[in-house]
Amino acid sequence: MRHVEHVMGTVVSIDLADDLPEPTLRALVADTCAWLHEVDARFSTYREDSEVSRFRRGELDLAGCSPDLRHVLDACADLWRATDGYFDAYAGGLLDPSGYVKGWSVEVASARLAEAGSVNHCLNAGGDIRSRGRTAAGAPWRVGIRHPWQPDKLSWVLAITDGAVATSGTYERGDHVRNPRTGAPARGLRSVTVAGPDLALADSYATAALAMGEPGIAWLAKLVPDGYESAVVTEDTRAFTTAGLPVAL
Amino acid sequence: MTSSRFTRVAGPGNSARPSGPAAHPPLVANARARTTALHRPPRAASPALDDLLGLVDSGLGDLLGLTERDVIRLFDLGDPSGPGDRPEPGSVRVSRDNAGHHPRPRRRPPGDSRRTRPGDTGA
Repeated sequence: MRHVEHVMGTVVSIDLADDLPEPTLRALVADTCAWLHEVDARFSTYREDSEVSRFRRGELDLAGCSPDLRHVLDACADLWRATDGYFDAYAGGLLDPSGYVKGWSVEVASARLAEAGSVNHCLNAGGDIRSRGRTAAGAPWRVGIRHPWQPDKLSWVLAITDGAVATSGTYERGDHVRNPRTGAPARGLRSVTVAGPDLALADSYATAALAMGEPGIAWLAKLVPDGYESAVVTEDTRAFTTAGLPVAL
Repeated sequence: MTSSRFTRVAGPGNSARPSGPAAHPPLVANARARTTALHRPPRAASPALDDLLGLVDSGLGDLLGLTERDVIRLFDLGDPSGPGDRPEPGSVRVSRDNAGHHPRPRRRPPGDSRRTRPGDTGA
């Protein structure tokens, strides 16, 4: 079953490949969509009544936050440390955990699907992908990495069973990622893709490496022992991958 | 005999300034060169990359005169060639920078807390 949902300012596609009764699949899709909309309502920085907005205004203190928001805040702090400050939920002055929340929400959605019996699925949230198991045909999920200059072409195709793929780049939205140390737009890298076990981390790592510029390539290589492989295209058209990137044959 | 496909350019021993079209190569030609390069298939990565970076990290790189930048240069795969394929619709999910409807407010200059669009939690 395939479903497309507009939520969190993007499009989320839900592919369930399990051999389950259709009413069950429909219920799983509905639960997934409900969760994603709940996250949007609670974590949007654009909704005055969201939990994040209330926390930003000081109407909630840490003790009064939901366990989910506390988790997000802790995770953003961990990422700030892990990325040497290049992933910064306070880069704009005010808390904005959006860079973590989308990947986390999809990661949680996938875990909930698995707990509910869907062990073969693929969620694609605006290009950030989390898959489990295999397609209905029994094959790994194929994930193409968009060519950074040619939108209708791919730079690599990955074969993924259980894992996540996230890409951050400058080709879609220009200079939207900044080096938090200089305040200047990130330079040097055109596209950074990270594949690994957790979508929230893969997405955050990709953004941090993009912000680092070329030194981000070496930084990404250090994530390999933790299970995070990467592919990078530089502004001057060079390409790099780590050795274990699961490129489809 | 000088091939008409090559153009003399200014350089040591040749201070003559090129003139005519050669002085300003057409942008189209540059774009074509880049496109051609991008179609080249990527070379296989070597598993030694991570080991070498580890070596640099450990300080042993100093002994070999290797820096991270040297290691990266050694393992440059060339161009992001890609399979050059256009994927069959539905055959692959495409990972890319957010293809959402709204721009993502991920990074802004310090002090810039402007919003883009309501409803965007975007990451």
